[in-house]
Amino acid sequence: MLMLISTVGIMVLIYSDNYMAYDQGYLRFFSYMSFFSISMLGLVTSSNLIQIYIFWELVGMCSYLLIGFWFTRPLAGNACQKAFVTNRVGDFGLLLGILGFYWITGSFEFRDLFEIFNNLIYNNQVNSPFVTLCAALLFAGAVAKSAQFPLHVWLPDAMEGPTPISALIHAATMVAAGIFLVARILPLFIVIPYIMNLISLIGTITVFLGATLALAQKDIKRGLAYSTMSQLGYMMLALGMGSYRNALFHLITHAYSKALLFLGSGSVIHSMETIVGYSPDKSQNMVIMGGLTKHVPITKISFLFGTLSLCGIPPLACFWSKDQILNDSSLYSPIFAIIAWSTAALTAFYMFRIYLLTFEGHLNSHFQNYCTNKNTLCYSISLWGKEGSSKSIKKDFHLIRMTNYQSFSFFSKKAKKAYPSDENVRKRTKGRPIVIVDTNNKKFYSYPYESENTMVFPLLVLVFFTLFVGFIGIPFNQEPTDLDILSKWLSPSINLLHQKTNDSINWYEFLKDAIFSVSIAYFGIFLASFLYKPIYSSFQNFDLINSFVKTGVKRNSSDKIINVIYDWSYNRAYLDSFYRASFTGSIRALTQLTLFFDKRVIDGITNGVGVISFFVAEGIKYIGGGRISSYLFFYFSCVSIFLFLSSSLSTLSSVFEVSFSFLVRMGEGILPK
Amino acid sequence: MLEQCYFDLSGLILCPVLGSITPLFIPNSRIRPIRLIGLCASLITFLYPPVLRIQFDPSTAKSQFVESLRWLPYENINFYLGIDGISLFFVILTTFLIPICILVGWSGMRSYGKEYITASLIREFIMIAVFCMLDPLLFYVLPESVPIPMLIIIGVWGSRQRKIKAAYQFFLYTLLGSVFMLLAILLILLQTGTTDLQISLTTEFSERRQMFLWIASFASFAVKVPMVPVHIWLPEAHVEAPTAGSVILAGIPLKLGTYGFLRFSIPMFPEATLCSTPFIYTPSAIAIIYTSSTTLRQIDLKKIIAYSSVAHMNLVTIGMFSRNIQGIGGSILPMSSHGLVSSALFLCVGVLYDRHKTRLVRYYGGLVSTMPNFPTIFFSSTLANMSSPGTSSFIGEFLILVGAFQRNSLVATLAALGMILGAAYSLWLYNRAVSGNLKPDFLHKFSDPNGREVSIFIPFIVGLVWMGVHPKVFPDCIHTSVSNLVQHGKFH
Repeated sequence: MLMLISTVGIMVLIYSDNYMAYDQGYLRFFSYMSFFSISMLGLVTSSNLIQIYIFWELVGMCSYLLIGFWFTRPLAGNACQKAFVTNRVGDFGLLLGILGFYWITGSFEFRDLFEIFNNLIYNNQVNSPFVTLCAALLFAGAVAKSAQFPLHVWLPDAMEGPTPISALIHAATMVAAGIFLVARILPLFIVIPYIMNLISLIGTITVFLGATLALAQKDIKRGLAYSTMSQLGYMMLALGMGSYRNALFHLITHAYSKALLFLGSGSVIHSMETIVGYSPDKSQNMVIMGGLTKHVPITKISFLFGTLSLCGIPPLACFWSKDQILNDSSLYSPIFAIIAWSTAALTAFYMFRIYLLTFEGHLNSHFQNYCTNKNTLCYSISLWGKEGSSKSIKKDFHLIRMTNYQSFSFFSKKAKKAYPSDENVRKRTKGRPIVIVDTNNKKFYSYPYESENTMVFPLLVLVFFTLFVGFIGIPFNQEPTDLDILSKWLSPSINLLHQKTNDSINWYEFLKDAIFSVSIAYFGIFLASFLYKPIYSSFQNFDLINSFVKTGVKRNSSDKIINVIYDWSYNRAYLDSFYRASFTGSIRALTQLTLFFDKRVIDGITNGVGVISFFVAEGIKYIGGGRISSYLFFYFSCVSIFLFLSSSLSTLSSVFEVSFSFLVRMGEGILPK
Repeated sequence: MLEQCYFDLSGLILCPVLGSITPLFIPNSRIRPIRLIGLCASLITFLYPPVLRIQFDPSTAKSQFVESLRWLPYENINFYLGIDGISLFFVILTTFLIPICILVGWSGMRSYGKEYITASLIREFIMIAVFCMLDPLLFYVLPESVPIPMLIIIGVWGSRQRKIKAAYQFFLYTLLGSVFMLLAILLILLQTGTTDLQISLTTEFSERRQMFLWIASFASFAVKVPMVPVHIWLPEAHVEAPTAGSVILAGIPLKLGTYGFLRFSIPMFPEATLCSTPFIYTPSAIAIIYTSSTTLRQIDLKKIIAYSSVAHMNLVTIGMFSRNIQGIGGSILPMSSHGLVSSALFLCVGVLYDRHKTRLVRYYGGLVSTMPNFPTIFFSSTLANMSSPGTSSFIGEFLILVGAFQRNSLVATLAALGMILGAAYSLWLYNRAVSGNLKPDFLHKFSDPNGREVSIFIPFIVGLVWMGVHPKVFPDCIHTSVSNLVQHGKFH
């Protein structure tokens, strides 16, 4: 895990030197990134739950900062808030789970925790519903962080951040933290059967949901995000089945492949920006892409490798790990196995959909009007304010885009170059915040170009990893004792589990399963190419891809089903809107209620006391008129009322005696002696 | 009781008094020397506690630097000063916040500049005295005199007409509660013949009397905490007070209630405390959820922070009444850290208000593109407000939850639920004010915090991070006193 973070981290850092070179927040970006790496490393090296919790939150905070990196986009602002609050729900569970286990065992250290807990379980000294609850709460933390089913909503939105961030945080490292945590405390979970079932159930749901939702995303990064979610589901499923090793193996292989894919997509986006302008709605839209093979060959090849790996085609990395998970699932439960296998086909399908849409066919950039017309959320400039806000100034200045059309410098020279010009603009506009952008550079570069060396180099390194990282986990089965490298690394932790990992799969079975899974993957690929490949003519192409709901590939009865699936998938299974309606709505209602209560009732009591005393005082004012006779009248009338009452009391004393003496006794009791 | 007087604590107390008297002899027109004198006096006072800290012996639970002066010889009432691990940090916090307040009002307080300095320093005197006081009668007198300078500050330097109402509300609420406290103190005086805290601590009250005393003191402290439903004065007072007033109000007087519980209710009436724990837990847990959700609907920047303070203080009471070392020790930490956090947030609001003269969230947005440094400060305080790790409030709140979970896991769950809401409203506030698009129709002046403002913020940020990253210093000093408190109460 440590190696994973450092290698992916360094690759992403090199990559983003170029990617972010034009950005004003260059320095800020790198400080956030480094801070993130620190907290992530802290997280994986921590040996107790508190430390995990601290770094867990810090990682979440960095993720918040980085998602909201382009903070002037309201979408990014909302996304980062959503990510943080959703994660906070998980953290809440995590914290309570930690506290619960502290209460049970009296320790935060993993080692002591496992020992004490296992002893307690062994001696049957624990309250099992409570333990299950605590474990479920701990698991909730992992669910939120790893974007598992009920709390996954933040991950696709998190793609508002810069692409290197998506690669590092939301594909390779941070989202894997949840998996890491569950793997870490698996010795706790493994003795509670309910939790293991819950984990595998959640994993399966996520696998399937993520894969189906990835089917119809238009945004390349969102598609990848859902795919990440689905793959994380695989890992969760593996953990739920108790195969600790396979989960971590898949984590590693997936991290490399997905980082490669994200960086590749970043490179694509970067090249698209020259055509369609700085706007995530356009530059990330797969509808506009297509036929990029000519223009970005290296990116294309590396992206293809990543895609193939994720689909599970040997000998690429993900094949080895995914195959093992699928095997395990078939041993574990048939229903889960069916879902997992079918999802493997779906994975191949959506990955190739993304690949084909992006790189094959013709460039569809002339559809960009489609976007500008349709999407109201399209901000065609700029970090520092949307178009509307700088409208008044726009007349005077051309908007100078800072996506540079000259060569990139290796390091931050470009950024430095960019700043002075920006300063000048600022000075000229008397400190008003406009930016940036020269409109005429579109003329010069109407074609996307391959990214610079700094961006390509990490891609190639990751291709290398994607190709070969799978070998560390291949069960070379020459001798039963000789485990593969990964198992050796993990063996100290596995020993904690008090269980044997079942590595001795014989080659025959392995081959059989592998052929099955590969054929399933090929089936998916074939389906994807059938649907997306042959469509070349441009305008129909657009219609078909975008809304084959309406026109349809084949006009037959299956149209409706496709329709429904497409809608369901495109609208993210309506979960977002459901959450919005239910949770946000109910919280809004609750807050409305409390606000009303606060304003009217609590403040009302205070005001009421004030008003009443005002009226009482007004009333009393007239009594004190200064006339002796009225005073005398008041005085004597009071005395007579009192006398009357006391005389009537004495007649009724027999009735009141009991209660009165009781009152007296009460008074004695309460009042000080 | 021997009369002893050293120069440790009385010097600390006299320093602001001298500082507040001196400006009275300078004519109003020469505002600059007045301010300088005020600042110097408060800074000298600020230099005192570190000296005390060095001499302070954390290994004993007794009060240190004890001084005692005969005050009312008939009833054995002494002017009896001393600090222990619990009060040390409150003294430091007070002396830290007052120079900040004077700096905040440096150029803002054009009218009545001299009076402002005087009021601030008198307030400082009273509050230091409160935290050093070891005599319940004076512990009644002094907290009751805290609202007076506050009343003046809200009433004179507040921003709107509504300030009169707010000042009255603030004053009457606190007064109403503390009447019962006076009764309780008289009762203690009757039984023990003295109001010395040390003697009262060793006195055994009968259970029924303890209950009465406890309820009476609770009435006083609950208003000051403030607990729901007597919290309404706090947002009002905060909104109407000037920035410096809010800073100090959030920093110190808000802590008097919880400090009172800690110094008075818990050690003196242990049985009553045991019995009444549900009585504290229920309203506190309700208050956390209730005020947090109310916060989500507020539109006034200051009200948001004020309501969140209510939620945090109620978390403190939960920790306090969990009656174990984690809980009580943990509740002292967020009391001091909350003094920093909410003060820093109020200062941030003050910075915005100075520039744009509005406090409604609606008008703000996209500040980050015009004031790049300000959001950094604001974000650090926001993080601290939602008790993110690495900031001061995390340690305390975590300890409180650890403590509370052992007593009652349901209450701890509800309290932790407040954390989600806390993150929601803090981030919502930050996001709406700082990121997004600029609203040039509403906002015209753009300027980052100037040197004075940044220098005000730096100690806050340093303090927040230092407390969060290296919190060991604080439990070291507190621990003996707290464990003594827990053992004395025989809670185990």
